[in-house]
Amino acid sequence: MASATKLPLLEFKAGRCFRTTGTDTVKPDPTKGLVYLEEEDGLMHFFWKNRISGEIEDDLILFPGDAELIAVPQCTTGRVVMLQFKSSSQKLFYWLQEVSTARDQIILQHVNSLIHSQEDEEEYLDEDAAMEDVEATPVADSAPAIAPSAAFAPAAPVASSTTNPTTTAPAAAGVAGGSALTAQQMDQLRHLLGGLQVPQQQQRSNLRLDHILTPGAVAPLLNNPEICAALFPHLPESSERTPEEIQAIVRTPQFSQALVSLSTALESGQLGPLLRQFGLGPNAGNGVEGFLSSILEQAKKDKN
Amino acid sequence: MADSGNWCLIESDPGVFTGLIKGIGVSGVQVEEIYSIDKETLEDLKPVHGLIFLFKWQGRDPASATNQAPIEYENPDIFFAQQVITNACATQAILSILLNSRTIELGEELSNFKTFVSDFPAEIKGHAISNSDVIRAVHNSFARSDPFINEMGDPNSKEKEDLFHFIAYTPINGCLYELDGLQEGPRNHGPAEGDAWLEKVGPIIQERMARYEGGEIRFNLMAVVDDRIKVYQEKVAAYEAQLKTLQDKEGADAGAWLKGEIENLRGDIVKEEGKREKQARENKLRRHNFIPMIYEILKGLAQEEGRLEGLIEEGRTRAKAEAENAKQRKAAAAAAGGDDAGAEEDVDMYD
Repeated sequence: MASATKLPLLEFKAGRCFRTTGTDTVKPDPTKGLVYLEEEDGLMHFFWKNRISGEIEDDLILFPGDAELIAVPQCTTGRVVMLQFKSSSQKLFYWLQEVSTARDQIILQHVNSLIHSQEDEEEYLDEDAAMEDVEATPVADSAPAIAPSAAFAPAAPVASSTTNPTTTAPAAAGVAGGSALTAQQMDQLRHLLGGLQVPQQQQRSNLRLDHILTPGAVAPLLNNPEICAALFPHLPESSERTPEEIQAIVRTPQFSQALVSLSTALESGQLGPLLRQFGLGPNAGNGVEGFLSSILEQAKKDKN
Repeated sequence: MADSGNWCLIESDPGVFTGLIKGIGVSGVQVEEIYSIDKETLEDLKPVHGLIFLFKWQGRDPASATNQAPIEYENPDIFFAQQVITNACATQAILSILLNSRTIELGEELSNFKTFVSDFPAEIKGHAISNSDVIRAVHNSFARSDPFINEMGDPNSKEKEDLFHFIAYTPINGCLYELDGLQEGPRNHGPAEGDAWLEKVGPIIQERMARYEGGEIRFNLMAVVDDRIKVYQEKVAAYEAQLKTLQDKEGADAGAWLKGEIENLRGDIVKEEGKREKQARENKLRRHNFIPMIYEILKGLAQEEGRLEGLIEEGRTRAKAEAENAKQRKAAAAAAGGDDAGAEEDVDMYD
């Protein structure tokens, strides 16, 4: 599957819909777009590309069985579909821009079978074969066996020496309200973290994110309302959406711990696939330095 | 033993323990950290169901060799479980107190568990705790997302990494018991009717602490007590009734001291509510996934010319200084020949 001529598993024209702040209604955005599913590094990606600019603006990783694409019956004037995650409250809305409505049901079925099929390869192969008969758009040429990479398979708890409490695996379910990572992904991340053995000597001398993101470093940033608006969705659900609250959170020991643990995870070099969720380059998972330089690169690209 | 990987380290924090107790379905109790075992402190917290004492484990427990309290191997009235996994030991100490109480409302889950394990020998009881999905799930829900809690510690001291151990003291059937999962059974410290155990336990714990070499300051003491707000409210109600009787007899101006007491208690309730809010907030933050937020902050900094680059430079300086400090401290500790290398470091205690 890693060939250069990779075709998407499925694509359809669709625009995005956004929730009107403070209400329960979503409004369609007129921008022409394309939704397509692709498998990368053993992970199923759900992309939304702006057909005018060619920019990929949504890139979500769908874990087996964790999401569902369903039609929104409340919408009577257009064809709005919702991508709903099972392990979190995250919902994304799109409106179908295909001229014909004939394929609508098939699109939904196919997306769901692709998400689902990661759980059960055999079923996927059967369904895919059935689908190809009715599908007109470019779908998978061959029958790819989409299996989550071993690293992301629900890992068996890592047994470690009982006398060493520092290397035991955490297995808690993450609560990822409104964050880019679903609870299940977070859970898998934690499994992953638990399986790593990081040489402590190396860990110690390295730069960590808590060396950089001190409360003093973050404070001036919060004068920028745009940055605050980007941060609000990622605060804990019960937190107020104010710059003061962000500053208060940045000062908590829990935030510092998160910086330390993310640094540790980055140093392990195994976070690459998850960081691509943020649209970062392949170098992002390469230690704290790699992560930081990817962010700098991304910012430079965004400017141009 | 292989199951230990399923149990996360959780912070030794009263808010975490209170949340844990509530999560298992037990109502009406909370955990308070106490900083001294004097009479007034304990008096103020009554009713106390038990104390949890945490200390640094040194491979051997200096107190156990001289512990005069006899072990009761077979006492069907006592819930005693041997510790089979390290990370669960705080939870186990709490369970030792809860499951031996005659007054705490255990809730369905824990009541069923108690019935289920009642006939098991101590070792199997320990396994039953470690295998309980419910207890483990609640315990783990308080896990930090960071599995490497000691990455700040001395990388070369791996072979003598600090372990912390929790033991419970609680009154059962009019005697004070010490429940230590690493012992073969509960130790009976002798008769103590009613609240008398609270006076008895102080010297026992103090003696334990004294057995550690000077400089060992990593002790931690917590009490399982009744819901403080409920206690205050009941006191307020009692004082109000008293005040009414007094005023009916002597007029509206009577009972100034009662009015003062009521006001103080109301202040205590407000304080307690504030504390709970803070704990609830901390627990939420413990469970929050901060990765998207961290990313957005870094992205915001990167958007301003040179801002992030500058901060990274500062960060490198900080990291270097930190490594340098650690080296010096280690050298100083080695020079002192101290067995306690790093004892002055500010290390959080976990289990």
